[in-house]
Amino acid sequence: MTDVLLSGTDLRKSFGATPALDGASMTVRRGEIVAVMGPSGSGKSTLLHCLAGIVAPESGAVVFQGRELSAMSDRERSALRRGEFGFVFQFGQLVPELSLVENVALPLRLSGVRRKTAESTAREWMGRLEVDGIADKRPGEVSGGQGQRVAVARALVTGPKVIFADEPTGALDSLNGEQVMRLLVSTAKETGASIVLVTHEPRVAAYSDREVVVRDGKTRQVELVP
Amino acid sequence: MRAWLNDLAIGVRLAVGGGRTSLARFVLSTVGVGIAVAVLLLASSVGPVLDARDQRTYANLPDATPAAGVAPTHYARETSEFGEKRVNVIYLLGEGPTSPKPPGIATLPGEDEMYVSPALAALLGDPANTLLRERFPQRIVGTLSDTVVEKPTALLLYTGAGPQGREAPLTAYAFGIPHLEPEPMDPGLLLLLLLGTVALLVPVFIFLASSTRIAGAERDRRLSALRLVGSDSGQVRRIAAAETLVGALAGLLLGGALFLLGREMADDVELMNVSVYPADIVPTWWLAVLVLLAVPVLAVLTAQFALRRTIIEPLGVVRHSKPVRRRLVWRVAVVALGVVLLVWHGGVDANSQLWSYSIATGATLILLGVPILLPYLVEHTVSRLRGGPSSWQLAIRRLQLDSGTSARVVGGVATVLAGAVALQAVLLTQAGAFSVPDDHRVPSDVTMTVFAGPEVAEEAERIVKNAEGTLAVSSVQSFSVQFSAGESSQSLIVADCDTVRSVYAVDDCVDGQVFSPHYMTPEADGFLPGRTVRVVDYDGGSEPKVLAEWTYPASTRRLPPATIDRFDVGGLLATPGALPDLPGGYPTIRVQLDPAVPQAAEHVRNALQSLRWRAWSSLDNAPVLSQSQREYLTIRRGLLVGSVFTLLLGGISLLVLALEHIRERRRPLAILAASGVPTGALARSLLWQIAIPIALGVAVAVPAGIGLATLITNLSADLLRVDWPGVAIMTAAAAALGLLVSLLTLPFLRSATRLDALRTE
Amino acid sequence: MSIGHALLGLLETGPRHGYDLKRVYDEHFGHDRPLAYGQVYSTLSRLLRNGLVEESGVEPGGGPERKRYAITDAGVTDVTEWLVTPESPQIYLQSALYTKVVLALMSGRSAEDVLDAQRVAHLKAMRELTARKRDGDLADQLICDHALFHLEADLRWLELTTARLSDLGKQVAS
Ligand SMILES: Nc1ncnc2c1ncn2[C@@H]1O[C@H](COP(=O)(O)OP(=O)(O)O)[C@@H](O)[C@H]1O
Ligand SMILES: [Mg+2]
Repeated sequence: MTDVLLSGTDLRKSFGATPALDGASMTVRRGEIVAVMGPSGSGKSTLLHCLAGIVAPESGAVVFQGRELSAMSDRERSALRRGEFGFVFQFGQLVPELSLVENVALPLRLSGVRRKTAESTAREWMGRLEVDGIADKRPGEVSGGQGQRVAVARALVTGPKVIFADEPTGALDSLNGEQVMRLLVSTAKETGASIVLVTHEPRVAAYSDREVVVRDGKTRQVELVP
Repeated sequence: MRAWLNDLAIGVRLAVGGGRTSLARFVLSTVGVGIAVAVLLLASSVGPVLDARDQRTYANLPDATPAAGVAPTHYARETSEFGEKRVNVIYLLGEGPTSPKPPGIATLPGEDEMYVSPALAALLGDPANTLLRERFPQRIVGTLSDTVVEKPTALLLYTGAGPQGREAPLTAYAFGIPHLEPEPMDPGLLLLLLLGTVALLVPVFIFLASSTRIAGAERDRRLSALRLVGSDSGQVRRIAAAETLVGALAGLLLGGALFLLGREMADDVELMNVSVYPADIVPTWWLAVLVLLAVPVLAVLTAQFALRRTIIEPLGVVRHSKPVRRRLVWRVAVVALGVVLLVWHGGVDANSQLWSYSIATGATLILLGVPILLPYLVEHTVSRLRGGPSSWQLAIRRLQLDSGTSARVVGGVATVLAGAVALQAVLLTQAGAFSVPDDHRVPSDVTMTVFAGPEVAEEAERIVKNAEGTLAVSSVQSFSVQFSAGESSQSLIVADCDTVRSVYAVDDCVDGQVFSPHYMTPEADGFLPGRTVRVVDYDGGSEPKVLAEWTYPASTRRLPPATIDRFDVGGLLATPGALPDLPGGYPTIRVQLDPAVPQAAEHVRNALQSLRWRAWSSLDNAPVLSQSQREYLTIRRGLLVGSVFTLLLGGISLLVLALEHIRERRRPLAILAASGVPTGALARSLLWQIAIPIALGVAVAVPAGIGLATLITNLSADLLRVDWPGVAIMTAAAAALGLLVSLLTLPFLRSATRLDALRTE
Repeated sequence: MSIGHALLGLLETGPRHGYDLKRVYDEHFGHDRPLAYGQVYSTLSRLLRNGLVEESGVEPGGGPERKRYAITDAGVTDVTEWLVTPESPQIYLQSALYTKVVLALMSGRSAEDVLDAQRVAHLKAMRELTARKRDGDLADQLICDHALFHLEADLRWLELTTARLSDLGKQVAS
């Protein structure tokens, strides 16, 4: 397939004696939303971290747009995370010291965009995620759902090609979860970003175009029945 | 460049204005750094303070080198005691209108006039001191200004000598002698001083370093979040540097302010006979610059050093994994290097200055070993601990995850402890070398010794006899005995049997007998019966004048020890019949004071004042000390005060970090409280978290201190003497500090475990 | 759900009498609804007619209850197809799925494949519902959500079963 954006092949990674990933492979095509499903502890997050280049697999290759991540320098990988990737985790990715708009502007600021410009872009994105009203509050002062939508805004602000979402609704109730997913998916579709969506919730996975199942550190190749 | 500034700006933004928690963090680290900076600035002002004092002292000294065309000023000085205080009285007599004057005086005072220092003016003005006023009834014609008085509390008085001044011992052709290059300090004392400085300043630096690492875990998470959104490791380093720099710079400002504030208050403080003018407290410029540079640099370096574990972990956001294990090698290497330096001491001869410096360096390394080894030890110890009650378990588990913070804080306290233990042992051992009289001599307010020149000896005795408050008077004469020229001499006191009977309680005294105190064995010192010795007099000069030859008698009697405590003879005591005829020696008059008369001593002194500089008196309770002994005592006092102060600083840093710890762990603590863990158990777990590192700290510090002392005393082949009760007391103080800090944190723990603390991002 | 496929699956483990079939079926699947004899024989005769089973011998004494049945090659193919064809996602289909999983385990096929195929089908249905929900009005959303929650329940059951396959395998084998 020509429009493969990101692929991981035969990834292995262990923490101590137990393998977290034991030969996992998956590909992400341009604009595609891939759900990564599987029981807790099966290695979903580790797979996502490997694909995003924040954990180096012990063996196997991760290739993004034709370049192997392990061959890149830390600086290049950082630049990748800053410009091409976006992250939404279950919680904790917002910097509590910064206001929400500053949090959203952070990746731009790190790339050297001026504060004014960065924050106005950030506000725009917060508007699209319907959280512009709370732009000047701090992460500790808003609800979980609002916080996650801010995190989505931050993931999208640099116009990334891939968004890595690890249980983005894990700490939310159904309604808030739905809202976050709806906004995440619709904005990603608009911008053409792909999403790697780690979740164990089928309803969340239903927002994907395709799913990959991880079990005991292995991805299961599912034959689609005609 | 712009990118760099941009990163720094983000760091600054993270450090300030980030809501309550980041404000609290900022304040804590600023206060911590501020205190350390103030202490360092103060320490770097010690030199200038002493210089300024010397400057004034030298400016007041008479220059006896004859100068053509100058009518000299006669100069005599005496120290007049009033209670515990000493008044320096200087008598002046000008030969002519051009006679030199000491600085600060407009015209040479007449016999009925005096210039006084401000402190003396205040003392004289106090109605409680009428006896002092009676002693110095002269009219005050001027008060000396600060610029000429050595220190704020100095009691100094200039008055006219009158015609008698021509017999004054000194003739001044000018005032102010060039600032002499101070004699190189005794290397032993220098070592002590260096050691003390090191022991006191190392904890300050540790405190400084840990202040800039406040809320390390929180900071790591924050930086992880930055890593996640794509800052590379260089950027994170710069951001972290900027973040700590803000705290360090604010701390510098605060420290400067604290220093200035403390300086202004110096005026009213007299600590252990030391007082200074605020104007003198000016840091040595290069030391101040060093502090100004070192603080931010140190802050940034410690932050960078701390980052070495987190730098590659954008996942700190989601995972709290066990930190990387600490390594032992370099920690042991530091200590080993210290030991090597101490054993090898630069290959230099003992008791040179270089020797002192190389030993001080070794000692520094060993002391630094305490805070360096402690985190390793804590980590490895707690990783082996299991079981126990839930508070213990909570504490152990917490320490297993992050023992660094507690270990670092306790490291400061442990260093003070190690330093203090080492110092005490070295001091105690050197105390032998300087043979300072024990502090617990029987103080005697009832006897007094009066020294008078031979020409006024009789007059002095008469005056004292008639003085109010005198019960009895006896007179002895002091000489020295020598075996041959150039040899050291022994003191010889000549007293008649009346005196021997009344003062030394030897009722069967017969003229012609010789006595020795219990601590002296004349035979061992060479005083063998029939041996010929020389009786000499050091009349002020350094070359003794031989007065007579004396054949040592066949037997010596022993003086009862109890009486020696009152009137120490310091050598041999002979009745006149035992000796050949001698010209008048240096008379010493012993006065027995009447305990029924209040301030009897002052009355006697007042009476003696008419003899002015030609007689002086001293109560027999203060041992007379040599210059080295006094320096030693000063250093010892300074060190002890410093230890207390540093221990307090350690306490403050413990408290700051314990509070920080609670603040940082509010959420887990609140969750535990919410799930029914009693606050008591949480408090005990906090106590354990401080107590375990403190126990280990003591376990490192005491051997380190004693080991250090052993190495040092080994150098001078002295026998190590450890003040075990002192060690116990200091150990207990460190433990109490931990306990106290835990108690102080209780209210904060309560507020942290209120359930609304559960709400955070 | 299809009793015919279930009987075929059971026959795959070896020829059985009609009575035997009923007993095994009841043991595994008929917890609350045991099969009636009539149902067994009518189903078997339909399978015979379609050539999916054959009579593999009659024991002396006659009577239908003495007949043994065996699966034919066509029968095996039929069972295989049935197993890997996901049930159309609808509510309350655990019993059918359960039957399939047990039969897959008994016949040594991959029960995981059965579950995976089902999950794919379920998710596909859920995706369609989710898409409809995104574009629909509130009423649509509520209706879709109802279906989604039920399907999700199935899927959760699927996951759970997958996680317990090895335990189930042991139990079935015993
Ligand atoms: N940093 C880590 N240290 C130790 N074990 C880890 C770490 N990260 C993951 N693991 C282990 O790897 C396995 C897979 O974890 P993870 O990828 O988080 O699973 P999932 O996201 O599917 O729940 C688990 O057993 C987990 O305990
Ligand atoms: Mg996970």
